[in-house]
Amino acid sequence: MKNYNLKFVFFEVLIVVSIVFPKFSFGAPDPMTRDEIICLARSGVGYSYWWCHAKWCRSGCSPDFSSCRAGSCSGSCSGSCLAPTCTHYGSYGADCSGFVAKVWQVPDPSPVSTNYHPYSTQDFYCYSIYWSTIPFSSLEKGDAMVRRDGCPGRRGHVLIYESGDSWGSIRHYEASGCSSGIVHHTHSLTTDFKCIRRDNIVSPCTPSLEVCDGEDNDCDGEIDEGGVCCTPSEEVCDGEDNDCDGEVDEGVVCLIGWNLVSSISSDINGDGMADLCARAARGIVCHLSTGSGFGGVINGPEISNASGWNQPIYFSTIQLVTGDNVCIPEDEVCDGIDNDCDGEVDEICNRNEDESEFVLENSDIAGVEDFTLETEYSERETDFDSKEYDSYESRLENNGGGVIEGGCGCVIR
Amino acid sequence: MKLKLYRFCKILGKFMYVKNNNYKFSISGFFLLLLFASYTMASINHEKNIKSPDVVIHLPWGSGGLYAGGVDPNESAGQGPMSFTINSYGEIFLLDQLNYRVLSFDGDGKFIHETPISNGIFEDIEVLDNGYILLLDRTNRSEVVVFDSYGRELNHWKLIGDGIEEGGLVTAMLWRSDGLWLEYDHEHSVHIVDSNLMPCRREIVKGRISLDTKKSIVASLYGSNSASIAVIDRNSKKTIIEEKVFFDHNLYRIIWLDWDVHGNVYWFFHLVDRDVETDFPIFEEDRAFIFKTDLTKIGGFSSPFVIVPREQFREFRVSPDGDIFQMAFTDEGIKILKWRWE
Repeated sequence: MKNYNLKFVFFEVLIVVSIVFPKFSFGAPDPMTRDEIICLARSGVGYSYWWCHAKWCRSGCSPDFSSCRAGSCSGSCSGSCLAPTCTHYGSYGADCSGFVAKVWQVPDPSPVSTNYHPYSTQDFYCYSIYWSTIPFSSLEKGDAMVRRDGCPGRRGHVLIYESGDSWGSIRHYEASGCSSGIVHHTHSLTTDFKCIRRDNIVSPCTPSLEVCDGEDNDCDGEIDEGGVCCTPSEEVCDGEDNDCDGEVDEGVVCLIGWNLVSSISSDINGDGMADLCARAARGIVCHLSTGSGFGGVINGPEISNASGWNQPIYFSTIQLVTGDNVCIPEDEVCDGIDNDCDGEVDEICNRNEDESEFVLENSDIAGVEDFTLETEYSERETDFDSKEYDSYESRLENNGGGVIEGGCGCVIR
Repeated sequence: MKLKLYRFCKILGKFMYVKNNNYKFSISGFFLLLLFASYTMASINHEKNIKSPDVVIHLPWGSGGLYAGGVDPNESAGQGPMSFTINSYGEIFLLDQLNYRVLSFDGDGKFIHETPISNGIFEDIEVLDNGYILLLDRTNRSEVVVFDSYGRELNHWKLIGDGIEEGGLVTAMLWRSDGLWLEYDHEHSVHIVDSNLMPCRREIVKGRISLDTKKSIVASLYGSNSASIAVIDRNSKKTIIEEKVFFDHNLYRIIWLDWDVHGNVYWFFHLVDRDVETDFPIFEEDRAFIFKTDLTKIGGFSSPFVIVPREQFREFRVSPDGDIFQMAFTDEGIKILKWRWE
């Protein structure tokens, strides 16, 4: 008899503990994301209010009325589950607590098409079983709001919160009542609602402040956005946001349209006239065509780079060869140029090699005057910063013989 | 108050002297008296702005007759009459949807007429001068239904379309001189039918369309204890004027926004302070502000009748001539209160 009493007391205590502290007894519900909660809530919209039940059909996040027809409810619901005061027609629907338990998938995962009604508003309001109370100001989509006129109380209601609008009205999902069924709408809610959050809500991404680490910290689908990796410096024309203001190459640093340069045109500002540019190790300098001559100097990127500016498509009217002696091999033609980059010029022609001056006829290039290399260079000498181009001065090939005297080669395009 | 007056008189006495058995004020006493008079006048002026509300209609909870349908069931949302409206004659119409009817009263609250309606899911009401009744069904059939005063259904228009993605997010139904407008998500208004009740091109304007239809107002919460308002010209879509209001309590929500024929703007708020530990409200009241067209504040009042667990879609209405009505729910029934201001 004594043993029986001890066993009885033990089981009584276990039951009480299980009810009052179920988290210790049963652990947490399966993980769910907020989007999964809203998806299930949305799938119930349009089904009827069904006292003490929770069962409907869905196709993804939408209700599936073709498989499970929405029922209807009449009267005003109260009383026991077996003998309610309202009448339901059909086999699908939910009351408010059945709806929330199903959408939250508590205590266990169960398909929405399985009828299951484990909790009432009394459970949601009076206990923290698989959920906890949170302040109103902490509400997020997928949380719930529950009110009850006491514990145990007689009346209550619970709903799934989605968001607040610009007036402070609350957008939510609920099994509203017998006449209206499960709805999604905006409504003003009384302030006696308690806010509760399901346990074990997970996020594929936990939002935090975006920092420069190659990760999407704020979970907005973008990595290191908002200039978090930017160290401010003077904006220059390089396709980057140097001054970290969110704009690229803004202001006056990119007066010329570098991106307009194509492989068949030296029209760098898109005005239809061929412009004259020179590229060197420390920068690119251009003279925009005026139609009858060339304008003043416009500076380009400070440093040429191997990824772009060394490629033929970026060559402009003139490319001053750097110490690397850039040469793009092509078929040798009789044009005074070492086209095949073999160190000889016009070796296929009968050119007089002791000719002291070589004149190029550039009349096929619109807007570019005929000029001699030597003349052209000396004319432009004051424009091209002598500091930058000093090293090339002594290497100019002046006689057009293809041999670089002291060694500079010029590519004419 | 008596204590304050006594103290004031005591202080005032220090600024008086006796000459030829007559009480005379010193110069400083005179100015003090002037200050007191100004303060008193200012107080009176403020008090004159708003009078206590008249209870125009009082209906106990119940069904049929002069009762209002209300439910406060378990495991679902409670409900009372969802909405009411005032027509241009000052008549009051109560949407008693749980009793499947619309009740009409004259401006003094005398019962006039009962119009039966087809179901109990309507949430908002507008009544035209010809007696036609427009009822809003947001979530069931998602439509506006028009009845004549005998309850015959004359027409209906679907809500979903340009500017309205979901019926449940319609936040107001507004009858204007050019027809019916629906406000969506407190963000924009959509023109649904013209003044002849014919469907029209769905023009969308930002905010809530004004009574004269020439402007709209965008209102929103602004921080925890303030709200902003901007008047926008309907044609140019440019902001004409902006204003902010600040409260000495936390602002829970904006309740309603309305106009009268003079262009005055009426703005209603629900203020709530919550206990830091329990999060339950420790202070709660509705507050109203009245502005001139240029958003200069000209009046205001506080109402202790906040919403209760019986849901309602409309709480305040303003008649075309500027009378303010509030539908308040109590344990006994509903009251239509008329707030007067001068």
